[in-house]
Amino acid sequence: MIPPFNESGFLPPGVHRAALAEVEERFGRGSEIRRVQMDSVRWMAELAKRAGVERIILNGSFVTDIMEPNDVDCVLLVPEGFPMEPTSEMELRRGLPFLEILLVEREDFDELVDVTFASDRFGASKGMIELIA
Amino acid sequence: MKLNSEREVRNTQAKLARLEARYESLQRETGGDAHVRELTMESLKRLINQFKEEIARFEAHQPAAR
Repeated sequence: MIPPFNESGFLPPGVHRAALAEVEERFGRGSEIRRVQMDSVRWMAELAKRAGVERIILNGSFVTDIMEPNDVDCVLLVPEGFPMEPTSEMELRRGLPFLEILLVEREDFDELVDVTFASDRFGASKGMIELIA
Repeated sequence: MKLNSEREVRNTQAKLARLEARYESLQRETGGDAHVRELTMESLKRLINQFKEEIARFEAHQPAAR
């Protein structure tokens, strides 16, 4: 279960695992812009699965209490031998509306999850979502 | 994201420095999967540029030092 926001409107620190349906329930219905962003998240998840992405992290204002988020930061862990399906990888690289997609190997995935996106601009720790199948 | 204070800039600069160090390290690497490394560098560079833009926008709106 995705925990409640803290007093700053962020998720509590850590990686909170959630299925697509739970992400939609919590973040994808609050406004028209969130519905459109959720469409992109759903499509990204499908492409990522086809391409052979190992893990998907959702971050950015989409996973805060903001009514109309600017974007969805997505960190995708890609394994050696990636991609399984080149056309899906190509679509991920071309991008999707509202999504900032980062395709990275494990060491950099850990850096982004454990450091770069683990705190807000003030340095306060915050959480993010890991999308699970 | 828009930075609004020196504190926010310092935090962003610290993250930027780590990402730049990692990018430079990847530039020197030769082993492993070259395609995955290329994807990673492409992604890191986009994020590095984003952070640089945010810092530059903040600094551009600060009064000139006397």
